[in-house]
Amino acid sequence: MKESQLITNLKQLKQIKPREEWAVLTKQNLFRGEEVSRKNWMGDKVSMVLDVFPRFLFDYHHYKYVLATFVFGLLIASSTLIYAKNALPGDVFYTLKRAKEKAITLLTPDSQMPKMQLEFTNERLKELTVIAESKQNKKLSSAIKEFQASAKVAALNIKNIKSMSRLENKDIVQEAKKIESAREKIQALGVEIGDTEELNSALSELVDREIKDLEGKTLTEGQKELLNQIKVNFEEKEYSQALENILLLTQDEQ
Amino acid sequence: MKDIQREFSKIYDQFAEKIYRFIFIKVNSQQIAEDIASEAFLRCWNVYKQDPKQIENIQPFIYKVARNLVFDHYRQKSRTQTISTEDCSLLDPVDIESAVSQKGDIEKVKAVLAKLENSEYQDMIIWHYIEDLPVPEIAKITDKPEGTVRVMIHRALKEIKKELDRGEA
Repeated sequence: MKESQLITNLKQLKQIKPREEWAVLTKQNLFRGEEVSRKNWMGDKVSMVLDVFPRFLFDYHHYKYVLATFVFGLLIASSTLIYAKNALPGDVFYTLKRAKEKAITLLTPDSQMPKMQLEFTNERLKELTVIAESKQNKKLSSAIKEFQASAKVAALNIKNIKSMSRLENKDIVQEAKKIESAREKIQALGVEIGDTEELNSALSELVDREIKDLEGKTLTEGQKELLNQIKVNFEEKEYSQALENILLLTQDEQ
Repeated sequence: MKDIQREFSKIYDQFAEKIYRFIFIKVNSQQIAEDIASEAFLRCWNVYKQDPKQIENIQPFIYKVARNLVFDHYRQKSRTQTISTEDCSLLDPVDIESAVSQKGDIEKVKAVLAKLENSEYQDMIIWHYIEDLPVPEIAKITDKPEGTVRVMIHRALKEIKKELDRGEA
C-alpha cells in the first residue's frame, strides 16, 4: 500500500462515531449529581442569590447601574404580579398567574402538596364564580376546563396520601369544605361545572382509609358514636363532613 | 454552578466523539470504549467543577486522562487482538467492487493500528491523521518536543506500512 493510500485510509477512520444514546446518557449522568432536588429549595434559593449578587454588586464601576436596573425590574415584576393575581382564564396575565402557581408547587414539600392542589382548585372555582357573576360567558368554557384539570391533579395528590397528620387532615378538610360551598354557589348561578368524579373518588378513598384506621383503635363511647356518624357521612358521599368528623374524633383522642 | 455546567457541556459536545474514537481505535470494543470514555469525562468534570482555571488547556488534559485510563485498562486485562467491524460506518462509493476492496483496506489499517506494539505510535497516528491535530498540539498532549513528535509520526506510519505489506505478502 502506498503511503498516500495509507493516509487516506487512516483518515477514513474518522467515521468511527459513538452511539448517540451513549453520548446523551453520559452527558446527563455527568450532571445528575449536581442537580439540586426540589425539596432542597432553601439551599437552591440561597445559592441562586449568592451566585448572582457578588458578581454584580461588588463590581464597583457598574454597581449603581446594576442596582438601578434591579430596583426597576423589581417594580415592574411586582406590578405585573399584582395584575396577574386577579387574572381570569383568557386574560393576558393569566399565564403568569399559572406560572407563579407552578413555581410554588416546585418549592412545596410533598406533605403539603394535597393541600396546595386543593387551594389551586379553590382558586379555579373563585375564577369561575367571578366569570359567572359578571356574565363573561366567553371565558366560561376555559374556566371550567381549568377547574376540572385542577380537580384531577388535586385528586391524584390526595390518592397518594399514605398517612396524614392531624394538621394535614385539618388543612384538607378546610379546603374540601371551601370547594363544596363554592360548587354550590356556582351551581346556584346556573353554571354546570361538570364531573368531579375523580376528586370525589379520591376523598372517598381517603375517608375509607381513615375509617378503617379508626376501627382498629380503642375508642370511648362518644368516639364510637362519632365513628358511626362518619360512616353515615361516607355512605351519603358527604366526604368533607366525614373528614371534619374524623378531625373532631382524632382531636378527642389527644 | 450552572455556568460551569454549561461551559463543560460545550466541552463535552466538542470532544465526546473524538475521545470515544481515540479510545475505540485502541481498545477495539464499543462497550469498553464507552466505559472508558464515560470515566474520562467524569474525571475531567470532577476537576473542572472545582476550578476551571486549574485546566490551562482542555484538549491535552482530556486526551491525557483518556490515555491513562486506556493504560489502566491494559494493565488490568491482557490485550486481545480482535478485529471488529462495529461502529465503522463507511461512505458508500459508487461501485460495489471498489466498495468491498476499500472497506477491506480500511479494516486492515484499523486492525494494524490497533495491534501496534508501541502505544505512543498509535496515539500519534490517531491524533495527527484521524483527529487532524497539528504537531504543536500533539506536543502539548505528550509533553514532548515538536521535533520528537514529527519523528514519531513518521516512524509510526512506516511501522503500519511495514505491517500491512507483511500481511499482503
